Amino acid sequence: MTQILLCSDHQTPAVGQHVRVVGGLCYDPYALASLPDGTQHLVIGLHRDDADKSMFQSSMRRIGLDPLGVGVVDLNGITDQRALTATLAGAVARTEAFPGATPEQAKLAPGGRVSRRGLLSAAAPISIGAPSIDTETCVADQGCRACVTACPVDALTWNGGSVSYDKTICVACGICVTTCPVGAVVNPTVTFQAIEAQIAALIGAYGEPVGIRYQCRGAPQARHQEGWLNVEVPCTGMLTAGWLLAPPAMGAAATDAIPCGESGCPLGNDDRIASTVADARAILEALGWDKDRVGRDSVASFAPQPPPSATGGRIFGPGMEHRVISRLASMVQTDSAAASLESTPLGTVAIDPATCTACRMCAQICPTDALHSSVTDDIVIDFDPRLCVACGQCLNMCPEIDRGAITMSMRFDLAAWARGRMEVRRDPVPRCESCGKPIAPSAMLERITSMLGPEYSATAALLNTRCLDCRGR
Amino acid sequence: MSASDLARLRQGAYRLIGAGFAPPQPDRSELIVGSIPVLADLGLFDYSFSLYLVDYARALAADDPGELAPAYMALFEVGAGGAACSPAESAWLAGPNSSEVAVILSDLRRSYLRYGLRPSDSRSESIDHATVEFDVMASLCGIEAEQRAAGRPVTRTVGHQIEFLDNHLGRWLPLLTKAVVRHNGHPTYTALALAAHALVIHDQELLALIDEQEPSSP
Repeated sequence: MTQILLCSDHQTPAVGQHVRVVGGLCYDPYALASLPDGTQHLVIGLHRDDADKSMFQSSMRRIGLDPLGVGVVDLNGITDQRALTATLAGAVARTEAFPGATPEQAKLAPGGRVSRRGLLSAAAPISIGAPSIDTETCVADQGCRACVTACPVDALTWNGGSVSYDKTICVACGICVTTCPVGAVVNPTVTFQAIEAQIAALIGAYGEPVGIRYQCRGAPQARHQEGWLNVEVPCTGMLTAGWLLAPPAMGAAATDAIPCGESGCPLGNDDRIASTVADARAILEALGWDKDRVGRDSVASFAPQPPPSATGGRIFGPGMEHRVISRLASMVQTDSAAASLESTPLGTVAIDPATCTACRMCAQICPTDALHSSVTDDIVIDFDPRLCVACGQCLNMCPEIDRGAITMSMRFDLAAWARGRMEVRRDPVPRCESCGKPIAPSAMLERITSMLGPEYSATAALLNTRCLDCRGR
Repeated sequence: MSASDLARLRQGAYRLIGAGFAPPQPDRSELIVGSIPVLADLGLFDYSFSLYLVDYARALAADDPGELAPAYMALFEVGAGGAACSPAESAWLAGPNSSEVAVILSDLRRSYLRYGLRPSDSRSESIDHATVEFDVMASLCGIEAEQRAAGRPVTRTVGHQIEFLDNHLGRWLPLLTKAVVRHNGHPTYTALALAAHALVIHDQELLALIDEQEPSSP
């Protein structure tokens, strides 16, 4: 059962949940003394944006709930019943999708509105959700270091096959969560499932076309505006084009991202956010949608319009860009759109047969299996653009990158997606004249032969006709 | 809450966990369960490890004392080829060479002396037993609390705590916790291992923040 507690100033919404009004809750969190039996989840609606978070967390623990799993929503400024109902329904859905947190996934942060220096002298620190890496899922052992590259504060370090994480440096911005190509980085307070559940509930409960605004956790106060509903995220820098485009794909009229302050993102993510928004707009435009459905400046200028009818199926998760775009395309019944992108994790890989030695290292390191290789009489490398997340590991690994053997462009192309997996490289493999075993790709043998030069022609001849085992015989 | 209260709270939490790793006795169980309200008055619920501590106390309170001793023995003391989850540092950090155990114990002895501590002669546990190591942390927190209350500098004591967690308790406790959870022997001891883990993880982070405010080393 999910219990909703509201400060008495709020009108009781009809959200079909167990709603209780607790007088003075905003000012006295300890009024939250107990919960009815069977309560598994809790949502608290407050009307003060300066409520003491530290005291609230303490009061939640006192009644046996992990504050990271309690939905606390600021209802300040929400005047119409429909927005109130939808906001609470969204919070309930997100709270119910909370997966639970381990001790590693709780990070200390200064409590209340005090500086870090006030840790021991003012409010007790609060807990915020922090990421952890599921080593079973992580593909760092294949060479992936997408999270390490993306982290804006260097809290993640590459250790040649594994990633180590320093929670004391981490600011829990969530960028690693949306960057990981396989979903191995998990922050329990901002999971794909919970965000999708919240957005679906917001859209469903509002009943009319509505805009969804991702709001930075550090923003001073939610600006409630008619026609828009907020979804809090740790930092708007974590948003990808897929996240911005998901609400329209789920039936929302528009999406926006509200960063945390007038002076810009303190983590320096402003360029990242701008480029994500630009990509989302480019994708919409290419698909034939109104690009103004997405945009940071669209709050004032764009009145939400009803979207084409949305279809079902889960879309949030690693590699979600493909699912979101495919759904948006199907909603407007188009199958031929393409656009170049700035930063969205959608890649198209091309291999130059003149310089590629078919060593297959690109396919071996690919964390999503977008590049895949097989060996029969020929070495074949194929590529599925629907799986590529543009992590660039193939480029990092290619020994012939300086000669342009492999290139990657950030773009989406519905026609290429429709074609699916395609061969991008084929090279014959000569067999050993002695034992018949494959020697090496012919392009690789040619490359080595040319590097050896004419003075090593005997060595080259041996290399080209004998496998490693038979060369010494 | 004052900084001295926080040190007292941490002292109590370490003492509670240390007692949990000692062989079970009805009096001790009552003491552990009864200490939760005392810690609550010191601000226990301001900190995330409180949930795990309360879970442990609740599991302990619900236990039949007669069942706890065999569970303790099975998990921490006996088993084919040794304890399933030995609650001692050397069991996790030493290799097959027995001299490595000696190195660990000698290092611990030196650390305790440096901190001004000496294991009581009446204690039967080895100096690398979880009960002793948690008690060491409790003692260091107690010293810190007294120093703070008297307005004396605490940087050295905080430094000792950081060092002890980094070099000893924080290195092997995660391994023990994983083993206890995997073994799934008894709910009370699983709750104890999780509470111990949550406290140590939380404290490492808290001490790093305190150290940032009041650097323990030049």
